[in-house]
Amino acid sequence: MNKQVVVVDDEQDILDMLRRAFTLEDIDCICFNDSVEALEFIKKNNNMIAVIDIKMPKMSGIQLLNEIKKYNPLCNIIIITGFSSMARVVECLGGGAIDYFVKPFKTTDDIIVALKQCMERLNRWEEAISK
Amino acid sequence: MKILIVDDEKVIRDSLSDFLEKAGHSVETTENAVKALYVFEKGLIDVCIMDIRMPGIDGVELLEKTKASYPDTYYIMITGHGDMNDAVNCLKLGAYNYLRKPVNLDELISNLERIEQKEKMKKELEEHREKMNFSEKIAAIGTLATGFAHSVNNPLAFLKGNYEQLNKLCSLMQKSFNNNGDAKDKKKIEFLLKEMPEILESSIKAIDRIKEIQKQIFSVREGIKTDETINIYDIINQSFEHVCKKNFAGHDISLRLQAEVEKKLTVCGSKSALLNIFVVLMSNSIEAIANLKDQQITVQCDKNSNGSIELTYFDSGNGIPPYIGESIFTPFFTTKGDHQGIGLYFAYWLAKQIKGDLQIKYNEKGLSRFVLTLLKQKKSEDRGQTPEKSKSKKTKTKK
Repeated sequence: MNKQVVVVDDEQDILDMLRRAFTLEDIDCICFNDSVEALEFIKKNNNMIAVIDIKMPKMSGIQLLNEIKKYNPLCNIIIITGFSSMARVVECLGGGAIDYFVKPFKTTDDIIVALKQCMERLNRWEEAISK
Repeated sequence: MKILIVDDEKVIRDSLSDFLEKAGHSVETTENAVKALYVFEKGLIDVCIMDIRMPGIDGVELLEKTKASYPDTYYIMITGHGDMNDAVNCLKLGAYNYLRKPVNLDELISNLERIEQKEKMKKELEEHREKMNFSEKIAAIGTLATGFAHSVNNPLAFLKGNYEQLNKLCSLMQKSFNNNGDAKDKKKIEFLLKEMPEILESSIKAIDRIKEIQKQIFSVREGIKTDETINIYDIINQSFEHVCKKNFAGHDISLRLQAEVEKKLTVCGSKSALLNIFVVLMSNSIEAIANLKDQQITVQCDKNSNGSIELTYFDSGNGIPPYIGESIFTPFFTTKGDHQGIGLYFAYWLAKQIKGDLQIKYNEKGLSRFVLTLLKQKKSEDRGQTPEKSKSKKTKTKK
């Protein structure tokens, strides 16, 4: 199972900040500022964890979420958003996102905790499958 | 109501004024058109009753003159037997009604009553409209405020994240100074130090962006002037420089101002508002054409028959498809991610504030064009303070 985290946000500074935060915690991640490229990558490499911004050009986070879920329903998707609009968040959670964080984040540690939980879950799945 | 009676016959003047004064109106009388014009100049006349046939300037001519200068006054014409054509002509020129000689007083009173009712309704309507305008403005400001508050989220997010990382670095370094750190910590310190220039640069960028947003809020709060004299040519060039040099330094975009944009053409409005409108339009354009071979922005200028200036703006990109065009001025509407969809709404709002208009139109090939309509500068107006104010603004932006 590919546990590399795909991070998608059209804002390069957010990406850089998250990349640093994740790398510090030894979380392997790859960043995309283009949702279409990100989708191609996920399809090809079968990543199981993604952190996605809602508002993006070309393809919105919600669309990207739906596309990934079509292809890989088990993918763990965490939504990050500047929208405090609950309607969008609910739409994402309804679409199968496992968690969401509103920008500006209280602390990036919260996202890291969520990612580590994802990884543990994936490890358990792996164990179960191998048995 | 204040009523003026213009008639060359003293008997009619006196009898009418007697009657109307008794009915509670304040009445003035004059025997010819020239004196009538004086009375008009002295103060507001609600209703002017005038004879069509008068020696010298007749009623029709007087009506033409006064209607042009005092359009809010109601004009009632008095006609003899032979001048039906004139009477009809007066109605065409904007008279409220005509009364036949000899004047039927009941008819006159009912005319005045109707005028009073009409005025009352007009006032109520205006009050209502003012209230509407006010609540609309409040709503618009609310929408803008939400938009601004919203656009702060992203820079705040990475600013905060960056500081968290600096904080981590600090504690890691302290730990290793006290010789409590392990190899893993050392690796983290090395990583953060390597990333340090990026962290700092991005933090400064965040602060600048928030500052920029704050500046926009201030420009709204200060209120938008509508009486500054603006050179369109300068404003367009200034916006272009601002957008291209600041945000898109790598691109080779050319600005084509069509010959019609005269270098000395000035309009009436607010410099900062107009600058903001073009900055929004150009930022949108540049993103749309950044990856194209042909990178061009064109601004055409036309003068409308009513004296307003029409600027047609388009770029070499694909434009805005018609199905999006309808909703493009709606707040939070966006086809892009990094903008909050407030830009075009803001531009539209600013255009309205300076009594202009911003529309999207399609040419015969179906390509979209932004059309910005602006009021032409009034020539006769003497504006004492405005040049100073605009000067101080200029120095501000230079800083």
